[in-house]
Amino acid sequence: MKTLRDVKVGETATVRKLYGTGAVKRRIMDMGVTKGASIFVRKVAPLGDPVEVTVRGYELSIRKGDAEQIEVV
Amino acid sequence: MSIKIALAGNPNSGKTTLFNDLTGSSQHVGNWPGVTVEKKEGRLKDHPDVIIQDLPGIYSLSPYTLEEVVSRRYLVNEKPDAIIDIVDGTNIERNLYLTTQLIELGIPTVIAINMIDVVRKNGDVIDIRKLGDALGCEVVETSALKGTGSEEAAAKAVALAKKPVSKDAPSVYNGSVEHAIAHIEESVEDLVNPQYLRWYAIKLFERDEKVLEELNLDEALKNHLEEHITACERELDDDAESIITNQRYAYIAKLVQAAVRKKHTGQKMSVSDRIDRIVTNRFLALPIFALVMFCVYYISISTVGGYVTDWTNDVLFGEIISGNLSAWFESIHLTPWLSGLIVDGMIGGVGAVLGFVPQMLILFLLLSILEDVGYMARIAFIMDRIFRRFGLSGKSFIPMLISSGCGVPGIMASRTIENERDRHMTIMTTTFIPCGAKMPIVGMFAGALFGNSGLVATSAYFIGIASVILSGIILKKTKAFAGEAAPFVMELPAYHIPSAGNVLHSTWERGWSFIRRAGTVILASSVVLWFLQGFGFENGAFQMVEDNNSSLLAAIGTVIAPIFAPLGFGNWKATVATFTGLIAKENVVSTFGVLYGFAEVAEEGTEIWSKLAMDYTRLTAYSFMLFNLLCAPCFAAIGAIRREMNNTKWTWAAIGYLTGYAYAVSLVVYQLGNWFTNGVFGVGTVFAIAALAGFIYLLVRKNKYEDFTEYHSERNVITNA
Amino acid sequence: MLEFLKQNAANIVIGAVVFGIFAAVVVKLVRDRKNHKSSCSCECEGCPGYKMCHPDSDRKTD
Repeated sequence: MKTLRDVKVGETATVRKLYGTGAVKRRIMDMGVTKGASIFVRKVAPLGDPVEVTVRGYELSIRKGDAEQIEVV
Repeated sequence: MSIKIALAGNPNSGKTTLFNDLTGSSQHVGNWPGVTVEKKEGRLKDHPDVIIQDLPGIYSLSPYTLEEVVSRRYLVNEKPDAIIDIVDGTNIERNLYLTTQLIELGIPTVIAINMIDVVRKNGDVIDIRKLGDALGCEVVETSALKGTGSEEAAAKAVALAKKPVSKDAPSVYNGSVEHAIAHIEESVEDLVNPQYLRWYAIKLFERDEKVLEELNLDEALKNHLEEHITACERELDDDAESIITNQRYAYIAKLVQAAVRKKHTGQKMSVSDRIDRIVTNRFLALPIFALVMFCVYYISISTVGGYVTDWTNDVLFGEIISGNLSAWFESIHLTPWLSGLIVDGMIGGVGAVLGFVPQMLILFLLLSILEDVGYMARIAFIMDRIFRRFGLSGKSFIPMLISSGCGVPGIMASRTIENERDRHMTIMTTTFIPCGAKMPIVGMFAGALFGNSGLVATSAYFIGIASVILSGIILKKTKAFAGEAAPFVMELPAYHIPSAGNVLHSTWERGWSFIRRAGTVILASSVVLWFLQGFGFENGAFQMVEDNNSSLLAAIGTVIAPIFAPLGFGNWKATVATFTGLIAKENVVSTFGVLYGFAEVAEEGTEIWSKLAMDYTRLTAYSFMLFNLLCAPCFAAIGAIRREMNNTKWTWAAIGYLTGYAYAVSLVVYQLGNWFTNGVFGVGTVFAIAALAGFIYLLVRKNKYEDFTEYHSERNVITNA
Repeated sequence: MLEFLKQNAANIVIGAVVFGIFAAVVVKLVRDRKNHKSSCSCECEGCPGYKMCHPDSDRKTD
């Protein structure tokens, strides 16, 4: 399964499914990371965490742990 | 009967500027009952019967964070007559997500597309009529920065409040979802206010825990609803909450495609990104950070700042002020004690502190530039990973950044941390970062014993950060703090050229407050101190003393001093200075200024801190410095801790932890340093080794609370129902 | 009495000035405490960390 974590800087991926439960998953979805959303990876912090992406026209930081819960194609 | 208009919108959408525009100076700020979320309301200008209620910035009306819960409660229970929804036009999709939820409340809503000036600058076009028609609302273009449109938005809101116009709500959801919602509405229609029926139904569909709690439905009804929800979930192969969220965004995507024409698709690397490639690079980021901070301290303390401070101390206060004043006093035959009070006490004390103003100003200037450029936000981003490894969230770093100016706003900034335990931990450790008031202490020793070395200051700063991290590790392994770090999803602003106005303004603010404190608190303390050290029992009688070692202050100090002996500075002057530091950290410097005859020495022309330097070695000086930097903060900060913790026990725990930690660190540094450099091995050394061992143990022991994760992190998102 | 005043004129004047300054400072500090104004001028406008505590505002940063 390919997750957001596996996407390299400069690449774009489409969200296929969100795993996880509760507040964190809801927060990520509230921010626009939903099924079918297009995500562009802009930068990755030292140690791989967090990841900065462009989604729905704005920039967002997502933790590696949370990025792992986002399945992409 | 007042009209109530609620102001809602995402964080960073310009809500506050709009609120200020609409209410002018008639604002009232407080807290929402029972929670540490700010509540702002005011009257609409020229409309004394209209109240504008500013709601906290929220992304959604989910039940998970304090801000959202507080907003929901207001909207549903207080039933405002209208809502002004501020939408950031440059970030329209995510902002409209909240809009769809607000509309479902059935309250007349006016949408204000804000930052329209930036939208136009970007070349994008928003068709507000299409938007309004689809959403069933009035849409107004505003630019809070330029000050246009806010009156229009308010006027439309007031009109709607007086005469609600019911337009068609947008059909956001698809067939099966609407079907389920309809069933739910039918089932609970007698249980809720009809105006909010749809909202409640949608929330019930999402299995919103707060709504379920509120409605307290009986088992049979719950099961009935559950059937409908599960049926829909099966059909769409997803959970209810996700279904609603997905469909909202799907609707918005279609709407935006029809009503908004963007010039760029925006998926390329901007200049900020290119800079960040290096600055936040996996391997370079931390060394770059260390280098940047070193440069900051080097410039402010060693070079430019150091030179000017030396001049200020030696020449300005020494020769010019003290010298001339004493000469004048002598010529008018002023009684010696009064002359002494003014020259040695007031000028000596305050002068010692003011001497550092040049260094402080340059330091503040450099820090302001870093902050304004946007570099400091990057640090939070970089540190997040490290912090999380040790149980803190990157959000905790922001109060620490602020603490490098003054600990009090840093402590108050911890409010943005939702997780209660994280918040407590942040409050407790944020004063480890050297604040502006502590810098003169560093500067003084750096000048007296380390040749104005920039390394001393840089090391103090990084020891502060290290202490925060180490404390995080240690505390996370205790019951009171165990658990996962809270979710940290944030927006990173782009870099931009520092604005001279902002930078100069904040440098001035900090500089002026430093000077003002010198003229008030420090001055008063110096006066009191001077009397205490100037009088004592000499030759059996109570009188003014020549040598302050026989003064009253010395007598008191000598009694307490022994507790600091293991740390290398068990003399009464150091003890007194440390205690005066509780009033204000600059007092450590001014106290030394008074006790070491700063003014007197200045007259004689010898180097200012030479008398001080005689009482300390590099090791004892460093140990003293560390203790004062890490121990309990000034009263103002303690007060802030008490206010934010809202609990006396926690406050004492914080002070105890800080002081105990400082003591242990100084002990280890001094004793082990003494052993390695001077070969002195004694009882003290044994204790130091024991302390170090204990410290290492606390750091590396297994965390038996590792499994507390999921449970704790969810429960702690909201601490008040 | 006049002799005393004449001889110690300097002392009295300067003493009064010092006392005045001291009293003024103490009064100001007490008043600040009563008005809950912290001694480190923590009104938020000057602080560069402003955006962190008040994410809502769009204070001019560009």
